[in-house]
Amino acid sequence: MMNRQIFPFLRISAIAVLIFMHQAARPAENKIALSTNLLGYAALATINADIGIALQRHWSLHAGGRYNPFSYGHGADRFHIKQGSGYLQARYWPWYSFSGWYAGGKLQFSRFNTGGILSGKTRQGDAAGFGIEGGYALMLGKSINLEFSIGIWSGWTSFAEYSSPRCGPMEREVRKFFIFPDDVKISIQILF
Amino acid sequence: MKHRTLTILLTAFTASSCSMQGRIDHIRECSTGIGVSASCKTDFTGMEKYDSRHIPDTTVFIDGEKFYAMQAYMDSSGTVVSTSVLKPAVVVADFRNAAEREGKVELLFDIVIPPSLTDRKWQIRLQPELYMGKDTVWIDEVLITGHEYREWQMKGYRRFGNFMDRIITDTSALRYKRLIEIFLSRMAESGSTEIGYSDITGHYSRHQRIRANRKRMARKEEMFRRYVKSPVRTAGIKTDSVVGCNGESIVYPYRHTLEAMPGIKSVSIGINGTIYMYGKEVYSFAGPEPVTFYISSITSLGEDCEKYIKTILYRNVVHRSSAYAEFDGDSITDGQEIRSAMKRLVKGASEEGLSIDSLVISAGFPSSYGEMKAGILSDVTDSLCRSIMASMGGVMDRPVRIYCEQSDTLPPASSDYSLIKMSLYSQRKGIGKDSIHVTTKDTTYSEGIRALKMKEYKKALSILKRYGDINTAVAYLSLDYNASAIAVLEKLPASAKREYMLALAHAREGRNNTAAGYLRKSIEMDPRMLFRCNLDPEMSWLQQKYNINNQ
Repeated sequence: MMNRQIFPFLRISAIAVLIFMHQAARPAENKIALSTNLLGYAALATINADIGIALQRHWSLHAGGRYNPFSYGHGADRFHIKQGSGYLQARYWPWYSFSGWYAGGKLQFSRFNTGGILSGKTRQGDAAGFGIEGGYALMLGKSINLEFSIGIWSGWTSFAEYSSPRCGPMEREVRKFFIFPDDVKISIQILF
Repeated sequence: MKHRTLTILLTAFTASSCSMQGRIDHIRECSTGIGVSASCKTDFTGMEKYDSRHIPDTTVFIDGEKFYAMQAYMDSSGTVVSTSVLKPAVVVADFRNAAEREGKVELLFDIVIPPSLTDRKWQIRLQPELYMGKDTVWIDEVLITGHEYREWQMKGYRRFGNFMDRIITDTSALRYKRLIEIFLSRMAESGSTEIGYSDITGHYSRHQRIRANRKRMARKEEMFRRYVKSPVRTAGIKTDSVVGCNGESIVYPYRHTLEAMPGIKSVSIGINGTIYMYGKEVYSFAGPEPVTFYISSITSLGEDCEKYIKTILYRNVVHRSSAYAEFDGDSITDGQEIRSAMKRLVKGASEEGLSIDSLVISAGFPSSYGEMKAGILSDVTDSLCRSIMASMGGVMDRPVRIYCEQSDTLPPASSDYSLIKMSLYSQRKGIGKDSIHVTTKDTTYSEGIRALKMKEYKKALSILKRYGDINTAVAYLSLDYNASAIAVLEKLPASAKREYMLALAHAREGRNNTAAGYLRKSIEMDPRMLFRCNLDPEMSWLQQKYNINNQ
């Protein structure tokens, strides 16, 4: 049910991104940047990576994902933020790609299983939506940046809620609109 | 304890302020002022009699115990303040002579400041005034500054310096240098020339810091006025001396060089003063009676005489002039130049009181006329003359014979212009013969004398040089050309003035013995020359050194 609602949305979004890439792509240095969010690792060791390409002076395109298969604790004390997320993002750089301030918009899909963080219940489901982000890329060297960013993500989520972090009967199914902070990042970025 | 300490401090401060105000009030009441002396060797011993330190405190014995009672008075705030009796400064001399040399007069006088007018916290600004005839000229001030006042001034400069240190002058400090370097290296690597260097440096500028820096720079003048309320002056002053206020009078020898002006025989020096405390005026006073300097000059040794020269006066006089004329066929297109030339001729003749007889006009033809036959040439000449005469209209106010002739010797000026030469023949009235000998005043010599009186020595010398008389010698001496003066004087007959001037010239050349000899001779011839010595420093010195007098 979730797939029927979300995948057409993602298809349309992917077409929009492709159109955008066609319009924005102009001869440029085509610098490529690889980054990882250090704060993500602090969030229960969420593995993350982002790859971006500068299409021209003011635009870059990014794709990335997060993956966290880990759980901690035992029994009733168990907690985890398991997830598998992917996104496509376009960034606008007022000065120059991969230097200084930027603003971005992304399309993101996430499959998650979280529990034991705020309560003893587990939520498992999907979320998809559109996010905006703003940040600053501080040039540390010729090929290395330190990025700071913060954003919000909004869209539609559909999940089932279980009574305990590990197992237990399903208490309810929820489908709702969501909006919450996202992309609080301090990333190391390597440029090629 | 703290309360008591604070009370003591406040009391001390109040007492200090009241004491200072009391002191100023007392200076005002005693009309204390500065002294001006015209002599460099002023005897100030008399002043010591008036020095307050010599007035003893009153010692009183009461019941065997010794008490010291000092002179005191109650000031306007009710505070009893100990004080001393002050006397005004002493003026030793109120006039002297100043010799003019090479057009300049040097005035030397001493400014005497009594100790009561000096204080560590004060700055006295003395403004000498020069009175020359109806004019008053302010000359360079003299500043006497107490060391605490100076320290206060320096403190202001230090504070201003601290402000200026905050202004960033190194432009690289106003940019993110490191980011510029990184960005440029990225651009170089990618080979991009999309962005210019000025855009890059503009983007990576510390704009806020630049704005703040600009604001500070704009406030420089304002902050200078705020911190440095009493700038240390270096222009327009003779001196700004920091004094220690040790209770002694301060004597400043003032030297001022003045351009000698014709007709000015004396100048007076007066002084006004103001006392400042931390930049604020606390007291101002007028100086004593002005000191007068009488200006003596070597030109007074000259002789105001007239010379006459014999000249030959001819009865017939010719005045000549010329002009260019532009022709249109046989007519002159513009006769203005001819009219002006004619007017000059007539005016010259009228001023000399001559009787005009005739006028001859010679004309050269324009080259555009080319080769002409004699007959045609004559017609053209007549036509030309008529045209010239027509253009003269109103210049000649009486009938005059006019002759026109075509000149073969006058070359054509150009293809369009012709050269016209005019000769006006006149006669002097009252002369029966062709010429007479007359004696006229030598106006050139008179002009030389006038220049000498007006202190225009170079001009006077250029005129008087050829005459070789005593005035020539005066001109030479005025310009310090002593050897030339001696050469002229030695050819003149002996006189008291001549001997005196020889003494002066020799003294200047360092031949003191010879100078002394001439001076003695001069005084023997005219005892009044002894008093002349007082007006010339060289002679005054010689007279004293060789003890020359009329006995």
